[in-house]
Amino acid sequence: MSLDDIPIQIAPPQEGPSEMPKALLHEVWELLQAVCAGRSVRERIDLHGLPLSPADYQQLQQLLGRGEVSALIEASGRSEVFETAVAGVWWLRDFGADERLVAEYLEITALPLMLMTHHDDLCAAVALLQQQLSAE
Amino acid sequence: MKKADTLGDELRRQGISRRTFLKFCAAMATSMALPASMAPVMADALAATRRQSVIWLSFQECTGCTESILRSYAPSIESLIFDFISLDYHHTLQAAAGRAAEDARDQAMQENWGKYLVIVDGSIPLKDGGIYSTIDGHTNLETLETVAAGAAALISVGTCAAYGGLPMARPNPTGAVGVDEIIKDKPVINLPGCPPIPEVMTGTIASFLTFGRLPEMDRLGRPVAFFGDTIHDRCYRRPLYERGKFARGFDDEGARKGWCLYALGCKGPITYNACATIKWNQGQSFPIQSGHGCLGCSEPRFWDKDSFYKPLSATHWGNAAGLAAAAAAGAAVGAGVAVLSRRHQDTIAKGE
Amino acid sequence: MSVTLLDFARGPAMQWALIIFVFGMVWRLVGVWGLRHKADHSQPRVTQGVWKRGLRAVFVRVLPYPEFAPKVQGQYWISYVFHLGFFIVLLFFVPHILFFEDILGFGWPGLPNNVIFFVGGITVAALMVALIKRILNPVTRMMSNFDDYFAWFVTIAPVVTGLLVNANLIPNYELMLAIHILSFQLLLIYLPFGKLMHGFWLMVSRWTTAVRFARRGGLS
Repeated sequence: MSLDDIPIQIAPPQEGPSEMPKALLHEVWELLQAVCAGRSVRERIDLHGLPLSPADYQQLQQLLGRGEVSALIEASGRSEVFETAVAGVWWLRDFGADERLVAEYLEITALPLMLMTHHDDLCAAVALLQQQLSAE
Repeated sequence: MKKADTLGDELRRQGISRRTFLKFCAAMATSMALPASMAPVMADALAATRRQSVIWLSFQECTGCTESILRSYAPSIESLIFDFISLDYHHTLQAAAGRAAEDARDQAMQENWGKYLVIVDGSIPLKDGGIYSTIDGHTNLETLETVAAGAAALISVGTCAAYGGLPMARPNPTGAVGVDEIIKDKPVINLPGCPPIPEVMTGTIASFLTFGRLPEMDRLGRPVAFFGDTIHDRCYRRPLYERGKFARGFDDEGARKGWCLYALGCKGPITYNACATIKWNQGQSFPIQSGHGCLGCSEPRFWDKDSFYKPLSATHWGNAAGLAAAAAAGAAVGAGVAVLSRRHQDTIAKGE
Repeated sequence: MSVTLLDFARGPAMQWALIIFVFGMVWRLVGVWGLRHKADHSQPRVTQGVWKRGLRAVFVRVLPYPEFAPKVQGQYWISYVFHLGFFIVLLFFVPHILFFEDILGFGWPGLPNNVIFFVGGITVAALMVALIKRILNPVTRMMSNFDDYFAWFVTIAPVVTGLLVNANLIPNYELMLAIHILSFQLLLIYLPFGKLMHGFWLMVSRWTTAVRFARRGGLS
């Protein structure tokens, strides 16, 4: 038997999106409300662990849209961030150095943590810069 | 004496910023099904810890578990775990050998007494005074007991360390047992699998580093986050099982169409592991996806349980000879009872 | 590591259940057939072809006697539903076919699981109705003894546990599966020694009774 004898199955056309994107949107709305009212600073919704079909995924992207900001981060692999058309709702994708998607989530906040410089890193930079200055 | 650096400080010197911690923890939260909002908290906690001393003990094993964790495919997010720990003793991986290697272990134990993490792969032989596996003149049992005495917790990596595994297979010539049969006074977690999934090992270690304790376990001492569901429950071929579409041979039409492998002996329904979700080789595939049923390698005694190719619903029902003997015995008893009954009737008839 | 309940159910328990089943079946069959037939001293009214009457009864009694139909047909229906349901589930669920195939050396096509679960659900419902009817009716209640209730129990138990195995309600699948197999073994072991033996005697007794009646000129 050769490889040609193995019949290639064409995957059946994907069914339409499930109720999942709508449910997620509801959750986003609730969390956004909490952040707006000052009850919370930052909320996250994991997308990687959810059983989203490609159709669900596409619909969620359509529903949230794309906003004004997008950024690339290089930290032990690439990370992509963009603000959705819903202000304050950010879409993040983390890749490992092997280009594999390791995490994907929505962050509901004014500015995602991945874009902020951690205070410890900032303070360490003070010392580093001082070293550089005194070396000159 | 200088205050020991935190993991965050240490890694920053290597050019690793806190963003990497955030990423690592986001990935970990996803794979352990923790709430996504916990990831930043975990990242801060992880960065504030000291570098964890780890002593890795290899007993009756094949090094497959080490191979597996090393294939947490560097460079990947999971392989960062090697930056988070100080692997102070590991036969196969350490540069030192002989006396120097053993000294390194003693030193690590002294410096971190009560705080170090012990990872064990391989089972421990108990028969004949444990002579079947020794290192540096000590039986595995002695080594395990000595090292475990100062451990914060133990992680049994692989089915051998967890449940005895292959060395324990019938007739178990060395009297092999798993770690938790010996160590009763320390927290022990089992990460079975032959080998275990790399992310399961790194996730559990990371969880210990972050929270300072072992994650929630099931009744067989396995982390619920990874061993909470059966392969069958998470299998992408599950709908074919429901529809009654079964491959009946490894090269029949069903096998080519990717139907359910239950009839070919797949042990997915009774095997708890994360293969169907995390998969292997960078999420590439897992046995069922590659066309072979699950062997149940993360379950105790999987080697002795059954033929790998016997369907789960088929049983060890004995043999035709046994049933024929039962039938013969039944016939004899039946005939005897009939004869007695007829004789009884005769007696009554005569009495009249 | 100890042997799990599932290992026990699939191993020694299955061996002994089958041995006891075969032993008990042959014992009962040989024992009863070996009994002396009751002598019929009456003058035979029909001498030729009484066997035809026996054969006829086997088929005619499939439906209730028309005179009694209004009173008993409900019972007939319920009985048919759970009997057929039980055998559909037993014989056409693919894992069950694999069980038989392992013993017999041959298999047959099965039905999709959702069909099986549907039939299983109906079977359980029909068995429940049968039990309630038995208890509510004062006559059947008085006639019933332990054997009747236990036979009902060992019949419904494998169906209920089987549905539970697949319903994923019990997180411990292998424990539920073990209980399911053990419940089937209870049925196997009990079958030869109680009223469930009707499965084997039913046609024989219809035949025998019809032939006896025919000899006396009765219809059946």
